[in-house]
Amino acid sequence: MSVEDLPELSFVRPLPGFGDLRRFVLVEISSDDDGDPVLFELRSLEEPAVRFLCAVPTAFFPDYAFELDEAECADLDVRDEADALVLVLLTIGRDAVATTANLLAPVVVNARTRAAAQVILTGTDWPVRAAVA
Amino acid sequence: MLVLTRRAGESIVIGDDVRVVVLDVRGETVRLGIEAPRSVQVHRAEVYAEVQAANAAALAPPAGDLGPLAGHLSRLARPRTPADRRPGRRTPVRSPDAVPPQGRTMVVMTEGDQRLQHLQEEIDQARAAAAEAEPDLLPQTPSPADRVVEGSGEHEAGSPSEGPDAGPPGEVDVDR
Repeated sequence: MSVEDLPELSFVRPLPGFGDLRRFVLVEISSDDDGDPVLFELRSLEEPAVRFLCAVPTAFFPDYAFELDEAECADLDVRDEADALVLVLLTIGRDAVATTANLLAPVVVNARTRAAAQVILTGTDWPVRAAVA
Repeated sequence: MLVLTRRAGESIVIGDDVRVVVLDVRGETVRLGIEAPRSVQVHRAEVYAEVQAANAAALAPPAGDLGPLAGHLSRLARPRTPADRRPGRRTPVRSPDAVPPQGRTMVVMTEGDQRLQHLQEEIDQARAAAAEAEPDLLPQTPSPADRVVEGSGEHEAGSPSEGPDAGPPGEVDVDR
């Protein structure tokens, strides 16, 4: 499957630190034994060198939970819990064990509309660098 | 940098639709209420900078196959229980429809409804005070979304923006 065939995500605002990049594709690169996705590559369509490894957080952090506030729900047109696909950006360490996940600022994708945003959580203690192992 | 001196209850406006109210000043801590449209993101500077830095660090190598690393990582993943698989279970989402219409949305950077109510009262008081002092500046209708930033939150300790550099009580520095 080529990049052009993949569903395009439209970020309602750029990722902090990444200027005006708003168009990304999400490429599944790994799934668990039941076929549920675990890891994705989030790749910019406007700047091909910009790509992130991201994960479904519950695969690594079973207790991870947060509440999406009304403003974010409205921005992303999330009407129902089932609309929201939550991913966390991974920072690749020297090896897999040294890899960390950004739990403070998850990427929320509206699975229905493909609208996406990186949400900086407030009022939580989730760390910006959480070891995956 | 524009430097303005304000007292508790006074405010400044930025552009047409952003309003910053000084809620109170205690020692070296200034509490600010911020009313801004939903499209304007409001964050503590140090938190936003931390996310910027984390995103930059998270950039994957531009070339190369992520597959092998992904394979290692997948083996670190915990087996998921059936409960985990229910869509959205781990991400409680409040539907905007469930919010009683109040003419504005409060985003409060603290926990607890009581705290929220208290802040709302303070904002209302500050608005009333501001209305007396500068009636022309007060919006005639509530803005699309009002926000309150609790300045004495968990990120306060040692933060450059809210520490001793915040200036003497009563003075709010505005970075431009």
